[in-house]
Amino acid sequence: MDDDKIIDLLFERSEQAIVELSKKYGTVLLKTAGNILNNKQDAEECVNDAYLVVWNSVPPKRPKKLLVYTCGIVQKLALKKYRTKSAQKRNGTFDLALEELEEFIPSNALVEDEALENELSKAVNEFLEKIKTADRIAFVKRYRLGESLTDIAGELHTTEHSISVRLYRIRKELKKFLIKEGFLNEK
Amino acid sequence: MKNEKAIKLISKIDDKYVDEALSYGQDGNNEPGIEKKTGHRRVMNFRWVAAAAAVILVVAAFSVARNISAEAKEYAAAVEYFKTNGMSTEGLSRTEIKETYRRIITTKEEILARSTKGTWAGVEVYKLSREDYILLLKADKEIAAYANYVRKRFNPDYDPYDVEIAPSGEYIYVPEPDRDVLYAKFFKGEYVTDPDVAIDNIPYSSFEDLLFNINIGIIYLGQDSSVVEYNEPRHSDIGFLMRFCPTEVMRERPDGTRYLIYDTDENCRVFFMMSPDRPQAFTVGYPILYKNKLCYADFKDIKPGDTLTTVSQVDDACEIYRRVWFEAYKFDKLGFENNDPMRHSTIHYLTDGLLEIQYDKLNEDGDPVVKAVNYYPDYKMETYTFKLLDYRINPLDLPESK
Repeated sequence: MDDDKIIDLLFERSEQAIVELSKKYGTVLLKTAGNILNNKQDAEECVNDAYLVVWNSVPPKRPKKLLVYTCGIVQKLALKKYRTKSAQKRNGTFDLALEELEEFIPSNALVEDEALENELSKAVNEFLEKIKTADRIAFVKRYRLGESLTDIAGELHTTEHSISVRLYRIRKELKKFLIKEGFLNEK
Repeated sequence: MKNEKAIKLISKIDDKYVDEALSYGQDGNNEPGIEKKTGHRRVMNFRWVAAAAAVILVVAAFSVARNISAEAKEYAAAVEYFKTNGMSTEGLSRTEIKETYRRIITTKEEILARSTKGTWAGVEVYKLSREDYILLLKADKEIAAYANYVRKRFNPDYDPYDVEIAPSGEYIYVPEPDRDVLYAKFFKGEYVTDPDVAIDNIPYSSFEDLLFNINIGIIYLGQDSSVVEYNEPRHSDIGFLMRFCPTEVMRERPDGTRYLIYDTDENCRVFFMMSPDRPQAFTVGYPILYKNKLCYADFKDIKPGDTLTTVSQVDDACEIYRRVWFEAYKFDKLGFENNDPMRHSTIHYLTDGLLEIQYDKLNEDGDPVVKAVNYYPDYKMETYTFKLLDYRINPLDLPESK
């Protein structure tokens, strides 16, 4: 069923909408939550919560891209859950992805500044716009969707090593870009 | 800390790139320039892979069939238990039903087995020690999660485990089908049904008490409490109010629906609509905070894009909403930032209707921004659970009528 039809069902308050949403995107949503939470049950709960949020928010909202909208909700919920759980135990894959990103977070007092945070994310988006599509997909899959190197390699039909090297190069380029833009000090 | 910043950073990666990454591989969209592993080696491997897959499939099918059979039996037993005990399985996944069942038949029954059976207000209950009561709540994942949520969101110092005790101070557990019956009995006062009779003993409760000190998730000023209308388990709103803000009167309208009234600071009066489906036991819809006598024309210039400060210039009761949103509800700022579907609205009870002003985000100064202005001349507004709720208040109950 296409997205518009599912959204129409949501507007009609038909619970079939959630069934169709789950049929169409359940797997990818579960994977997104699972990437962050590393626990099947937590991921399932998170996806179910996301369905409820979709049910409650559409209408009045009419998302342009149902998958992106739902996936965004899943990710927010998963990150919330991750925050509460991360104090207790660590989730290998996602922690590793975050650690790889930490070098781009300025460590001075200014990081508390919300405006700076916004500027920084704007710069990262600008950087993503400039790089090759393949690189961008790998970057987003790894850091935004929390996918493992193995999964990304599988989806992009290449090897884990190749993805690892590719991501290393992207991070290096990003660092250069952020230094140039004045977000990071040259060291 | 850096980890938290990294999370924030990735959350702000543009949705269009997420879309691109998500749709890669779907509908033949797989041309980002990364080479595919193709050719001879892949073809050679295919036969072996297919053979291995077939073997795995047979073994897996056998194992899955056995698991499904055991799973189906447990599920059937769980559903039967739910039915026998008058519990609803609605909204629960198959896994959740089984987990709830497992939890109940082990821990909960053990605790109840060592409790004393008795009656409270004519309803059969289990009387528990405080320790067992807390254990019982903790044994129930849902209650424990809710208690933590309440503690985090409203008042970190408050002991949520004190909520469910009866006004008598006893720790009781009431089996599900009887809960509403008992909760209803928490109110022992009088229903004022005659629309021509004014209520002269409206209780007073300070803002500090009503909205802050004792608020453990019962009063959602500016939020529709119907969002938890069907939450089970749910704390008894009336039990909570009768324990901390006791009152002897409740207005009953001609259609049988009821509301509670409290006087509070700054000459404000608060009205809580009670759920028509579960009379007296739970609040429903938005609480009405009435301070100023206003009409729709007073708000004629308010439009989407204005701020709470602007609305406050018309009805200064808005400042109380602001205080509650940002001081009592610890996480509401996050709610705004995360596009929480839970609406934040100021509700204005007017001489000529009901006005709901919705806010959906914060501006640069942290001021909630008006998203929509909804006017209901017949005082009827749909709740979060899509029911039309009549907010009409007897004019005798409004402060200026006295």
